[in-house]
Amino acid sequence: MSVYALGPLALWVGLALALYGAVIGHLGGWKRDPRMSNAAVGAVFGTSACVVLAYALLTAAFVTDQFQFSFVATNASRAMPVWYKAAAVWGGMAGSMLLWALILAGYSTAAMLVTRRRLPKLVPHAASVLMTIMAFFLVVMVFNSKPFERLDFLPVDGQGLNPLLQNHWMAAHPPSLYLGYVGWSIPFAFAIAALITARLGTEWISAMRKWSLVPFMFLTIGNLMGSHWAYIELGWGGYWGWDPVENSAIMPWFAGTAFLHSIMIQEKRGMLRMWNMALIVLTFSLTILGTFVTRSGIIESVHAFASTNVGIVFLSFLTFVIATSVGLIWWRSDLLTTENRLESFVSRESAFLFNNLLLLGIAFAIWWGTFFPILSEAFTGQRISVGPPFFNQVNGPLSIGLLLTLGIGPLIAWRRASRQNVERNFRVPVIVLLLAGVAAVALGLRAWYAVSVVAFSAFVAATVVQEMWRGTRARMRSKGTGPVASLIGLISRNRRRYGGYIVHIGVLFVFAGVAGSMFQLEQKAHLSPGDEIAIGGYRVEYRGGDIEQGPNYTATVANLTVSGEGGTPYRVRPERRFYPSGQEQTTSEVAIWSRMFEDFYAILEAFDPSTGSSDITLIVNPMLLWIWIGGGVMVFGTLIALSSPRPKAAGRPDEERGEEAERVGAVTA
Amino acid sequence: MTGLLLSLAGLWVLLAAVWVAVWPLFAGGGAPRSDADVERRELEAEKSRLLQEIHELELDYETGKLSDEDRSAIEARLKGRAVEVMRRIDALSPPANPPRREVYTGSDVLITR
Repeated sequence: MSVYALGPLALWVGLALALYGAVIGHLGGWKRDPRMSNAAVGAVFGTSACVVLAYALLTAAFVTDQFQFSFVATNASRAMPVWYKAAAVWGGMAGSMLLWALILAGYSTAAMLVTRRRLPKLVPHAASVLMTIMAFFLVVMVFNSKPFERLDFLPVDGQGLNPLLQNHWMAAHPPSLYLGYVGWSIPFAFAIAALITARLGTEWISAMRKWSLVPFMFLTIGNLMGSHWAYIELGWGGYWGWDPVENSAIMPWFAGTAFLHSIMIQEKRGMLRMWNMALIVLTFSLTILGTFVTRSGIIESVHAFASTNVGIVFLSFLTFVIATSVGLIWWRSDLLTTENRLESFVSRESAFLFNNLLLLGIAFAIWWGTFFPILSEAFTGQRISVGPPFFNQVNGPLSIGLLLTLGIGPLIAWRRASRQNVERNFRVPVIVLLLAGVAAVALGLRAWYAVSVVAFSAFVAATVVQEMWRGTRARMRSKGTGPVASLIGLISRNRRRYGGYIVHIGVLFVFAGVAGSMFQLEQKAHLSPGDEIAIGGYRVEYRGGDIEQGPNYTATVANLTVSGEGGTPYRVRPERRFYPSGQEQTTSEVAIWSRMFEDFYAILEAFDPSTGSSDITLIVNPMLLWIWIGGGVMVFGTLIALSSPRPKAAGRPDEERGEEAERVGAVTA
Repeated sequence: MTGLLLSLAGLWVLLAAVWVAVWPLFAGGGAPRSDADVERRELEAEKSRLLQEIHELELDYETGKLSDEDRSAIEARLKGRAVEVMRRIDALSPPANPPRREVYTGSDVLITR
């Protein structure tokens, strides 16, 4: 028996265990039967083991060129480097589904291990929900997109992975994105468990805070990796084209970010219970929608969607998720009423709510722009395209508003901001805002978007610095330590809060990069060896072209020497690669000289070996590096927030216990 | 030979997966957690959350985001609730292996046992 025969068997056994877990968990929870509850957790572990086995076998099939499997033959070839063969597992539908299941297995196992003692009443139902999701993906792999389906013949070689995907950023992008997508399953599962058990207080919210930060972080990384891949691989000089697949990846990020903010209101003030339920359902549904959009073919055409049943299966599951969740929320609506009411529109609660509306407004605009062509085709038979101008015009003002809430939210008082609070907290940041706006205009910026971004970014930066300074000063007074030790102590003791502020700084950098890239310069030229051309502050000399052989491609390369203002000349070599095997595709490998305040970007459009001349496109992208730096800062801030220790229930050191006694004792006196 | 061994190892993984999922049904479920244990754990978590909130309240006040009046009102509510939670924890029967714990003494002092 070939070891690969175990692949389909593992999927079948995994499906059986997932269905068993989906039923036994709810039964155990309702009957309060510990045996059934433990069996549900056991089903999560067992199903996960099956999925890990299936994934390991498929990876082995790719790495060892098992072209008898249709999926391997379609997505790999002998000449591909081993790393790309392993990454080709998620290069198509069946492997992507298996990657989804693998990541869900990892998250589910970790969630069961961490929460089974802390949330004993929620865990059996949450295990059931997770196993229902798992069963769906296993059904797709067992009956529809079969990763281990065999061909009737044995091909000599495979077709190879799409050359555009043979890039290390693209290889790492899907796992990161899926870590983001799938991670939302955990808070969703516990939200559903909270609805079923009517335990709708802060318990599930507090327990799920970190489980929400993890997918937020991976979605941030995944989207940035995808943007970086588009920037360096697609060769059009941009990083975001409002492509439906990109849009599908960013929508859950906006909804999830809204959820992360609004749960703070529930924790602090007992408000927005129903809103938070709706947000987590929306976020999870958008992750399913994203996978559906990417994999169903609906984006190409509604007819392509109808021609395969994958889309229908996904749509059915999405409908089931939304209908069940909405039904549960409606069932528990009496218990989801808020403990407190919004007391004033000038309050932190109000700022957070406004921030939520902006985030959801952006998500809705993206959804509308993405699905309008499909809806128009479905209802009128004519496909009406929605291009980048729509997204930029709608999302530009909303993003500016969002930037403003980044500064207002952390400073404004809870419940009701007094005039004294507003004056005390906003005086300095508003002065900084005005000065930055005037400086931006004085330096020649005229576009309202750019001036607003500069002024509001300065405002937000001032709020964060002021917050850190005031916290540091308070700690210096109370602890008698120096400023550096106090700042470190402040962040260390309040990692969630200050980690969040650091994320905000990262967002500012991303805004700076996005605004800067709107001032892009572009020039096209036909150059012969020795020709020179100028763009922005650069002089570019063309020194001829070469033809080079790669491991599984042939490349034509243009040699350019770029001189910046007063700096050492820099050599850039844009390429065009031809991949002969399988799909016979040509790709553009751009050359980028990335500098702190602008990127020099060169694209080889065509090379004529007979004359040595080339058609070249040169682009200067201001501030673009700051998008990637900002992403790194956002991830760093999230890691700080994630590192906040979970409060221990018992057995703490005496010093900590003393502080606790002090805190509570003061009021009982 | 290697293929056979790998196949057998894979089969063992699948059998173990089924065993892990089904065995708890026949294992008696271990010692069932009493309602008091579950409640104690929930109350301890609630207490920790309240203490964290009190800490953050102080920081909000120090950084100018709360008026004196709001601070007093919220602080009284949080601390009142914390005291109530600690009373309920103390009212529960002690767990089998009691951790060191705080006891509300009725005044402004917490002692450790």
